[in-house]
Amino acid sequence: MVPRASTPVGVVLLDKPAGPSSFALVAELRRRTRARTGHTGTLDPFASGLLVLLSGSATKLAPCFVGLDKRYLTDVDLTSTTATGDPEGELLERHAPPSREELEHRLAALRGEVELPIPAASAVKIGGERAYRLARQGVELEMPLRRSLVHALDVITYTGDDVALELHVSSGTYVRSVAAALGGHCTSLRRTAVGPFRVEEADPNRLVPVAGALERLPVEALERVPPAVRTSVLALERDVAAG
Amino acid sequence: MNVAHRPAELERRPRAVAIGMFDGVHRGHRAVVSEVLGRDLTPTVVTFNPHPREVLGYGVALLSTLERRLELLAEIGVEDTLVVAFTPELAALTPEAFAESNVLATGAELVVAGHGFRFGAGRSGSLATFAKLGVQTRQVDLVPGISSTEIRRLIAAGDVRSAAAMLGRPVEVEGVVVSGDARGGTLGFPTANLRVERSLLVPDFGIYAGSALGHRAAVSIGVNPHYGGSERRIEAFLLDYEGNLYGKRVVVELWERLREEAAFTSEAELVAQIGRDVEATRAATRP
Repeated sequence: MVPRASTPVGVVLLDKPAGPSSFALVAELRRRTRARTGHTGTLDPFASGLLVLLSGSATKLAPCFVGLDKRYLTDVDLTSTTATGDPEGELLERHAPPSREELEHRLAALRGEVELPIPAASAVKIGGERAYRLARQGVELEMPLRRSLVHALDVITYTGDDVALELHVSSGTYVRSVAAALGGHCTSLRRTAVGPFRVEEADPNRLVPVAGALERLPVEALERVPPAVRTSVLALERDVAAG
Repeated sequence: MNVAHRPAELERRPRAVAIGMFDGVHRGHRAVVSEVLGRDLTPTVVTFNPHPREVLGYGVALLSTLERRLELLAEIGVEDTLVVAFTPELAALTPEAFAESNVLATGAELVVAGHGFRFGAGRSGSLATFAKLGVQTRQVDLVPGISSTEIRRLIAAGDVRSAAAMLGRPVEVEGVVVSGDARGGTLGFPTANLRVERSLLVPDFGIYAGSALGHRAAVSIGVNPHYGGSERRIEAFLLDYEGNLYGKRVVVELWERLREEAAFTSEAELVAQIGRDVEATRAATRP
């Protein structure tokens, strides 16, 4: 294991393009900085949008950054479902799209506190094995339900066959499950915000100071890391800047 | 303005005391502080350093350094300021103990604070604590539309014009001039390379028009593509200035964001663009 540097310390906001895995972007940043680098929640390869990465000793603060609400934009094809809830999975079923009225009805049922099945093609472990691996082996899975809070679920555009949605959801909500519950699958997915951080702020060359990033987090999120750890990271950041 | 770091350093006399962090001394803060001016009481401020959020590990992006905060308070007309060292022990004091030892001990007869000011263990102290201790109090309402959070958001987004309107003064970056790459000099535009405290909020990367030391300045805020030790660079080219600034503290005003940072295909192209930035800086107006 190559030792990784504890500096530079900071937060990097990236706008991931659709295609590469989140881990590829973590690795790329690590190559540039040679610092310990971590993510605070991945995006599927087909998805684009905001990734919050932590550099150097800021990785110790990861618990402050996970569990934040997320905002997404997604296009949903209402005429078919796929095994994965995204365009990469096998086609399961073709059907006529719901009427606008029926769509509104389904959307209404998805707002607030909801329980949705975790997509079979996800990284959760079932009996010690990754669900996507089991799914790939053809194992039929009864996927567990996960409780989510859907703060907002709004129609942006609607063509009959497709609907573009804007979502504001609690951490751990699978947008693919929302699409499946509407009787469709995601054809595109873009994360526009993680907690207070917006994708418009993303800049691969900017190391956001930890001090300013923490300030924007709710106190409950901060308190997931002991105060002594937080103050030690802040002190290291100050010393590096002064040195 | 006298600056004290312990209550005993301030002579006990009838005082009107404004209490708060007053980071950035924006228009809302000025509304609070101006309540202690023009009375038969010595206009006094009690403030804190470091920022409580920093000490408690909650992080903060500051709008001004302590030094600048004190200068701005002095400009308003404050005569004495007590800078209370904020420590976990201080935060654990009962509101009454804090009020007695740091405010009433100076002779406070009137205590003024902004809406929502809290202090002491469990944030249980408020202006009511002072009222109970027999001091006159006055709470100043928020100035509509002015908030530190919104100012920080605007500055982070590079909207220095809108931020200035809320601050009641131009946005500033403050730092000490240190040696840089000396690249600007060879291009014909020697710049002062500022080292800025890490806890200070710095505007969005880009090129700004502003001023420093009474000269107009074209200011570049940006990055070395390969982070390295000092990943962020703040460089000011002072127009019509000759001299050595190394080691000097400089407050740079940022009046207007001119453009994004950009990479150029040739040095000649870069020099031509800087020339245009300098012209735009000459034409810029102070907010």
